[in-house]
Amino acid sequence: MRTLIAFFLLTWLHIAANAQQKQILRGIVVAEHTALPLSGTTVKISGVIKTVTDSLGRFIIELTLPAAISFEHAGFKTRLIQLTGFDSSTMRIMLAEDISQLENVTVSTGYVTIPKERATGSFVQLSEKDLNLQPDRNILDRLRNITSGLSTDNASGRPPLTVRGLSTIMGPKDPLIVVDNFVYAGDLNSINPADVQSVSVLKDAAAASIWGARAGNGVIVITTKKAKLARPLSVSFNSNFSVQRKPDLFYAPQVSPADFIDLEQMLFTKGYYTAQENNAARPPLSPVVETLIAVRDGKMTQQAGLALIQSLRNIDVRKQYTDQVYTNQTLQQHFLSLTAGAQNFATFFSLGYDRRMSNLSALNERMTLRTDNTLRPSKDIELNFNLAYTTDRTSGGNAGFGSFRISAAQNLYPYTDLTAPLDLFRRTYTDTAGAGKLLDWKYYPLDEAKLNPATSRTNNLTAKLAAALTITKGLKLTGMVQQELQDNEALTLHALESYYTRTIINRFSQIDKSTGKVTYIVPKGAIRNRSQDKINALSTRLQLNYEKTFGDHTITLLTGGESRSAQITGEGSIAYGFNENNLTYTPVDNVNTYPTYITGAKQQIPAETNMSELNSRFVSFYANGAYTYKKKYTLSASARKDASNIFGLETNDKWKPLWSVGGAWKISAEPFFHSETIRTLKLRTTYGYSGNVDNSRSAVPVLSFTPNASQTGFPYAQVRQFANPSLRWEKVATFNAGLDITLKSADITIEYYRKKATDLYGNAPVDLTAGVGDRVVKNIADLATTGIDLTASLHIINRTNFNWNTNVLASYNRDKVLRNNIPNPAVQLFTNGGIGVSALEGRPVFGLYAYNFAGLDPTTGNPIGYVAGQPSQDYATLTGAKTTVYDLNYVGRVTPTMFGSLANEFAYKNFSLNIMIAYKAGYWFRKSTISYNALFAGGLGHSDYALRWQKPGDELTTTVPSLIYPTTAARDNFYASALPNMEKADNIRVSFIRLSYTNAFTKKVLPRDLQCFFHVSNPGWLWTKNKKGIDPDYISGFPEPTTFTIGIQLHY
Amino acid sequence: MFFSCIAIMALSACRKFLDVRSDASLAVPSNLSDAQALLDRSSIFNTVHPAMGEASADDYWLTDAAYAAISTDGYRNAYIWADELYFNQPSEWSNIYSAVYAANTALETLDKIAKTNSNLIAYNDVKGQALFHRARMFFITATMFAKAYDPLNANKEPGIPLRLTTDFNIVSTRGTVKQTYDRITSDIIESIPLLSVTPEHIMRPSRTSAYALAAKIFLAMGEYTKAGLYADSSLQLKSDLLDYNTFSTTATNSFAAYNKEVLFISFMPLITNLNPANNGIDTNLIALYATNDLRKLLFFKDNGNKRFSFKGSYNGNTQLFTGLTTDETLLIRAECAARAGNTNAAMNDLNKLLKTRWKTNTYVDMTAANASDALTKILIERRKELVMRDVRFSDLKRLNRESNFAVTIRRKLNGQMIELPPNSPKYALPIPAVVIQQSGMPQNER
Repeated sequence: MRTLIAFFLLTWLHIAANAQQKQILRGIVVAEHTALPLSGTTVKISGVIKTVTDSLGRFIIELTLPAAISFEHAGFKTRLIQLTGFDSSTMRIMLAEDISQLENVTVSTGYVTIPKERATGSFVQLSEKDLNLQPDRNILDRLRNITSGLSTDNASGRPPLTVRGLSTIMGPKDPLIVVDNFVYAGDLNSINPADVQSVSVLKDAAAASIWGARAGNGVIVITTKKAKLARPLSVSFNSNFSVQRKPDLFYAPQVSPADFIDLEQMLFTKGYYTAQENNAARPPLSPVVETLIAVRDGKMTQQAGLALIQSLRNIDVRKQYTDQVYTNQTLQQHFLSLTAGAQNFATFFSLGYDRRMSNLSALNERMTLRTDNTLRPSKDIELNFNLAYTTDRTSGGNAGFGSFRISAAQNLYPYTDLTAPLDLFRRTYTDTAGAGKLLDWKYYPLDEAKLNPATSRTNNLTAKLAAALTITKGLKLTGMVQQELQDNEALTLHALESYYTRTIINRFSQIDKSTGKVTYIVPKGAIRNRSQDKINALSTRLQLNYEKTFGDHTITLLTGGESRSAQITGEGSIAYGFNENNLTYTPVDNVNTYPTYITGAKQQIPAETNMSELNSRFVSFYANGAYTYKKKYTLSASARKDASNIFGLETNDKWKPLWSVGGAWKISAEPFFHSETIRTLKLRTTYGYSGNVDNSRSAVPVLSFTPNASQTGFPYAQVRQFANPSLRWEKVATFNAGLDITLKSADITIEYYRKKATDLYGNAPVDLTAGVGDRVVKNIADLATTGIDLTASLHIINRTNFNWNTNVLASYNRDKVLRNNIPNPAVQLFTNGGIGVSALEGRPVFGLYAYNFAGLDPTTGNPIGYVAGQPSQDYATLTGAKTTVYDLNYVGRVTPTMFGSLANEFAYKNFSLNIMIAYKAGYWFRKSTISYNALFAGGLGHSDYALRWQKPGDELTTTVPSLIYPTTAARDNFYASALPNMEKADNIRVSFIRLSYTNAFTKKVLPRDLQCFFHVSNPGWLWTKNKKGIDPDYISGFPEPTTFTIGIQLHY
Repeated sequence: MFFSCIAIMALSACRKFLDVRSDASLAVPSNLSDAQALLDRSSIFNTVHPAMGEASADDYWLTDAAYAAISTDGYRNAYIWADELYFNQPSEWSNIYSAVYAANTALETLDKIAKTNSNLIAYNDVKGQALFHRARMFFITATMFAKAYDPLNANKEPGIPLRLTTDFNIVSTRGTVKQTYDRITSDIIESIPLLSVTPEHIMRPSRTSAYALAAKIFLAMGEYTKAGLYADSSLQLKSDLLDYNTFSTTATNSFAAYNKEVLFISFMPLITNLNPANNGIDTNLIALYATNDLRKLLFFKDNGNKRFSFKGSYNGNTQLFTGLTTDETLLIRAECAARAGNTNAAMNDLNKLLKTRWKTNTYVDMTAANASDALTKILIERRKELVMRDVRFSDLKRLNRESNFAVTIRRKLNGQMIELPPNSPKYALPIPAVVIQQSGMPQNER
């Protein structure tokens, strides 16, 4: 590695030494019609590249007079200036837009880079500048707000990222991610966003069909920075520092400690806790209940008991977490890159380092190293070698609010004092059990994270070799091989002092009552859990490109084949009695069962080893062609066949052909078109097919094996996939029509699309008696998604010193299920829990349904619904199997119908201010509310408790039902999904504000180019339609806290 | 040209390339060990015995407070024999039929495997296990969801759905009680000669346990001659009895799992109603035990206030044992002997059992005046012996058909008395509403 770096450095020094000092010319290059500075303009003297302009369009060159200087910039006419003399002031060079040359703007599909002008399909192209607007450390996060048609969602059970809505009901819903030509198998966090040159989002069939059966959800093509031939040495350095505030835990709608204590006292008098008190498994009771028991049993005076309970009323666990557990999150990002290119050799090298200390004190460090090298040994051969290495290390932090519970069924009490020991079994039992021979059985909340140090480390190495051979003019053969290796190791060391270790040891301890001797079935020592998984992916591609222009005709053809195999292997192990000093451990018996201390019930010691191996393999052949006539009319077509190792299909059935066609007509190039206002006008349309593959589905019965069954130790199998011979791949037909308009000071694109997805996986109903659950998957559903994407960039003010640009993204998207089967329309599947796929015919995939609500009973505070049109309080019927989703009110969709952003950029001299406003509209959510059953059984409260009906007359001001004991889950479920809890989700928020200062310097010692910025994301300026203080993007969890970032970028 | 050559080469290599399994822990069932592995999934065959039968029987009671504290509506409904038993709780039904599906998958896998001399014993054993499991699952279902077997009405009363293949497209129908029991008996009888006498593990069926299951099935049908013969066959292979004097009366759980009376292991998850922390055992039942009868001390913990909680599970913990045992088989043989008029044989079996249940040297052999006296005594001892083993509900159904043994069972709740009279249609529990809705099968009358 050292020799390699030395080699690169020598190369750069050689190039840098070529410059000779004569006279200095300073200048600025701007666009003629917008007056915007043109960064990246190549400045040549006598045909030799001397420099490129900085981000303000500036350049400095040394020359000897007279000189022939040329300025070249994509999309502009090259300007040649014969210079015989100049003064010391900055020279201003204006470049005229070259409409015929706009084709130099290219988009990458991952197979080929095509001129945007000749593209018939729908693309979003994001430049490095666009991607640098937001300082997120994950590249996908930087696409938010700036990608037309892309929508994000935080809710669980729904895809986090969708391109143009849905094209499947049950299949995978995430877009395909391609990095540098190949599908990316690793962790996207391994890609440093600073390494990314551009991102293309392929939205329609013509754009995406080249990716075939996995392109149904759109494709995101990420292109990293590359070495470029014939470029002088350039060095860049970026550094950012961010601070994110603690989350607002009081956003969680929790019952107040005082209310909860009153409730516990009431339940105690009703004997609710008697069963738990008698339970042989010794489940813990809350401090309040234990006090009440002690008072009842005469072990504590009434007075002392009341005083103790009174003191607990003032403790709020949310405040405890805020003060004791959470901190501000800090993030640093540093990045250095060097690039240089001679005529036949070019190299790029980058180094990145990020460090994040999360708000739960988990430390994450990421180091990225990339190099890209191009060698052109002869005119016809170009070789490219690319290597990227990322190492990412995270050490575990504290458990956040809500993630630690007393037990699976019991939430943390609202008055929990984190500084005091907690009981996870009854203290009256653990204090005496084992007569002091057992290990301490209490839980110390603030110590546990320190006693269970966890680290996870991911290394990713991706190497790519490509060779391109020009056979004859216009005919090029390209071969590529990419090997990706990823290794992830997660290690947790549970110290002997940790509760985790102590409770396992205690659970299996045996004490001889006569001698007091303790036998440890689980050795008394630390426990180490280790899991490792590895990804090994090999991709190869061979492709032939042909391009020829004769007269007015241009033909481009490409055809190729590729194969890909990805193997993911995993292994995990537990070592008991682990000694980290000498790496010794003690084997344990995982086969036989041993009596557990509390109940004597026999259990196995948690198992030792697990292994897994997953393989995915694809083979594809594809062809793509386009014909352009007079640079006005374009026709495109593509076809593709894919095969995969999907389970249980014969090879022949694994193949799936897909195709697409498209046409584009550049109206403004027609002789009859004359317009002063409209500079270009292009109409394009495409139609074609892509697909969705879900390799987890199978046509034959598939068994999944588990080693070491409880008690017998035999391996056992269960039927994972039921025989389902009629399964096929899903198919998505997409129609797209777009109009591109360029006005004098605006670029507008408007696109209409309609996706019709057929043969979708849907649930066919089966009765439980068949033994396969209540549904099986068949290709029985159809879905239509229609939408409009509008992009407008408006150059509102163009002055030398002041610019105001506005980018408007507006999307409209609606999906409608055309055909589906609802195997079980029973109402509870559509109301309780999260809002998952409902997919009723004629409705969206994610729909919200609610019970009609007739208010509260004025005498009891019971909620009233309707059964067969009549007011009813029969909750068993209201929520039972006899009521179906068809009896409910369809409220609306839970994903936005309209979304987009408004980005304003104000530039004054060297300063610019960006304000990003994002909006989502036309959708609904269901707010959470009180469930008395969950409150009694698991201590899960809700602030609506305080709003409950308590006396006649309250029904006029509240819809929250009264507290009753005993209660039924049905009554809670009914109210939770009744109309009063449905809210409109429309919202507008300021997503971020960014203030930056850019300057370029002339003195040699200083950087040529400097930018500093201050960025505030989620400043908290939010308008919501609901007036309950709920951020619809965060119905559960906590809103993303405000983050402040300062950063600097330097170029030499 | 060059390119098409590559393409052709690639195509031929494809088949091999694509034949790799997408998940190495998955396999298409094809051999004997696959079939055996399907039947070794104890989490559906052995550990999730449905609880609604025992929960509907009369061996336990709940206080008003304990009843109110039950958080699952379905369990509360079971206690009061409500019309809608399975509010949102069809899991017991689906557990049973997942087990049936697994047994059917094993049987269909066997159909594809050639029987050879070398695999014959293993082949037969696996087939026997699959048939045993299917018979047992159908029998448990029939006990809960069909009316008691009555030869006069068996052709008219609705039975339970008999799924005999893995084809989920076949619509479920209930058939008749006769068809149900015909299938159960033919499966279990077919399994007996196929199974090995001693299993590798007692979570697997064996010939001994198959005889015992056959005895239990014929007993429930009232076919006492056959029940007696099968019980005898089982006892000839294994008739070990525990000596209750060897157990501590103060232990949290009196017995160990895998004890020598156990022929086949099965147990039920502890639901709130049946959790000894919540309920009490019927005090009338407690009163039946004599002072020197160790079962009173080993089966029950006296919590004071007349609340006795059960601690005698043969599973070695609080989970209720519902498998097959020698003591139950012995009681079947005794009862069948009495019903056949063979008083001596009946009383011999009974005394043989009770001698091991009483304190050493305190038991005096019981005698019976005649066969019907013997039967009465045996039935009382049967109830005392098989507490909380999911036997009582089936016995209530069976014995209610004989007027001299019929009883009305009662619950006292919030000052009210709820009754379940003999032969009430409620003895056939309601099938989950969702199943009825999907399949269109008739629901049991309430």
